[in-house]
Amino acid sequence: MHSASPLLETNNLTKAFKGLVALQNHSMRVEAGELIGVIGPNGSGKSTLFNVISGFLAPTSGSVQLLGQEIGGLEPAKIARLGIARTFQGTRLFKELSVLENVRVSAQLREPINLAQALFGGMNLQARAIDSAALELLHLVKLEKRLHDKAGSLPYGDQRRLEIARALASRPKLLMLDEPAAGLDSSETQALLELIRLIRDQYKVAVIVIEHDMDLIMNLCERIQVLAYGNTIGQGTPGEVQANPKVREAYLGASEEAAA
Amino acid sequence: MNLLEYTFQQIINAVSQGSMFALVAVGLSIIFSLLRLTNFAHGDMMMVGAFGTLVMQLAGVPFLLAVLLGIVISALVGIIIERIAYRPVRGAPDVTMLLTSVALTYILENLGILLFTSSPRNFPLPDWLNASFNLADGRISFTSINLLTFGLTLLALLFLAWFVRNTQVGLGMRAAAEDLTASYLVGINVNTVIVVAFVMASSFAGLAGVLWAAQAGVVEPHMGFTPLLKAFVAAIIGGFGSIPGAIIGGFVLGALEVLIQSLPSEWGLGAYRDAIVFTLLIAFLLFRPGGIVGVKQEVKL
Repeated sequence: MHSASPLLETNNLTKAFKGLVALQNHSMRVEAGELIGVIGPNGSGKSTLFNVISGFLAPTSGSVQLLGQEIGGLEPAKIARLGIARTFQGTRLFKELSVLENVRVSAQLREPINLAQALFGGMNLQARAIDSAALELLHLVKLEKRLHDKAGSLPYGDQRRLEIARALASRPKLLMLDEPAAGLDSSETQALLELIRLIRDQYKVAVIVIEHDMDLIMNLCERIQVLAYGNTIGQGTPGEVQANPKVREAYLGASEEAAA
Repeated sequence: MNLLEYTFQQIINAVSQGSMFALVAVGLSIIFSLLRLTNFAHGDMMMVGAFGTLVMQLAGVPFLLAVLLGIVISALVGIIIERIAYRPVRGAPDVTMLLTSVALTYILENLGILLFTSSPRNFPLPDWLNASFNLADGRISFTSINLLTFGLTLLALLFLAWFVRNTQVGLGMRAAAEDLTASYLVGINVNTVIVVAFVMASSFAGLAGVLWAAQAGVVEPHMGFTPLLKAFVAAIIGGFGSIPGAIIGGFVLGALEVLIQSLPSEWGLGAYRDAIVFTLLIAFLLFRPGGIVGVKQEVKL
């Protein structure tokens, strides 16, 4: 962490699907422990950005670096093991697995194990350590009473928090949350905001949040980046972004009109 | 022989037959659940296990050790075919993977013919395995192979149940079976999970091959074909891709086959056993593709 490289840095990152450029010349720097927001109207390239960083999509051009190491185009599992965890729009839990198992499955295999270990030994050696870490996380997201329920049977808000716990279980340096507040009511959103702050403070992770909920973004994030049609049209502190005329025009203005 | 004794005898037969089907079907289901791969080469792992055991015996290895080594050989062949044949086509359309497995079947069976010729070979058994037991003054009888088939299948399935619930790789296996893409994205080492799945499926098939050969008394390169088809039927009527489904399907099919054969011979249904079984398969595919346990993913063949 004492090196000059930031935790995450993208440089001129571009992703095109055939003719459509979903993300263009994207550049961002995220330092360890920062809370970053990414906002923008639908189709602005936010999810594409997450998909490229997490390795789900390979970049068309440009670079993504984690602590100075190029990770653009690596396999998702590799990137996850290097320290980037994410959640998905609308959750993507293993619904047939229990709450505890969902967290354990992500805490496992951080260190690649060989076949003999996988089959015969070693499989329970890690288990104790994994379980205590998993229980701690489930406490944090207030699911400690539902350890053995199937994930699919939880209410929606609980599933959201479980997905965050699952992402944290791999001990990431960077946590990316894709619309974590979608479908939550205002008190749940407030609880989520406090949870994300707590996670940052307790686990020293940087967090990037994609969100449409402006209250959450403006209250939570230290820096915000605004995308529209794949381009970065503004960035800065919440105050700076709100004062940026381009942003107001492209995004806030549009939503005020929509609200009116 | 009264009806009670007759029924009891048929139950013994059904359980023995069903165990065998379940043991083979479970392997098919594990692989399908992870990769959507309909693995036709699975039956040939039976052949590999049986021939492996035979070769070891001929080399002078004691029987039990030979069986163990035969199973290890089928597990190794499972690892090799995953690495060189299935991994390159992982994620390809289902038909590509299916055709790859059919090609593998031909390659493995012809290798078997090349090495051992296509004529059946005697599968020597130690005397204690040929022993049979009688109850009710000999009106109910079973062999130690019947007992072993059930006992070893039970052990294998209990081990599998323990493995998927209590080990990290087993947990990864269940997660990957539900959502392979999400498994990659939460950092599960999917390659390890898949290789372990092939090791398990292939060693189960290898064990089944030894038991099958012990019952038949012979081994030959095509010996895996019939049990493979039956295991497919079992896996599909149970619910393809589900481990409990494969076990239930195996025992249901075993019971059905024994029932058909035990009906009065003047009804003449015995000769139509396979026709009835495959009609049942078609009925399930048409009306209940999720099988008895009702898996959500529909079967595509």
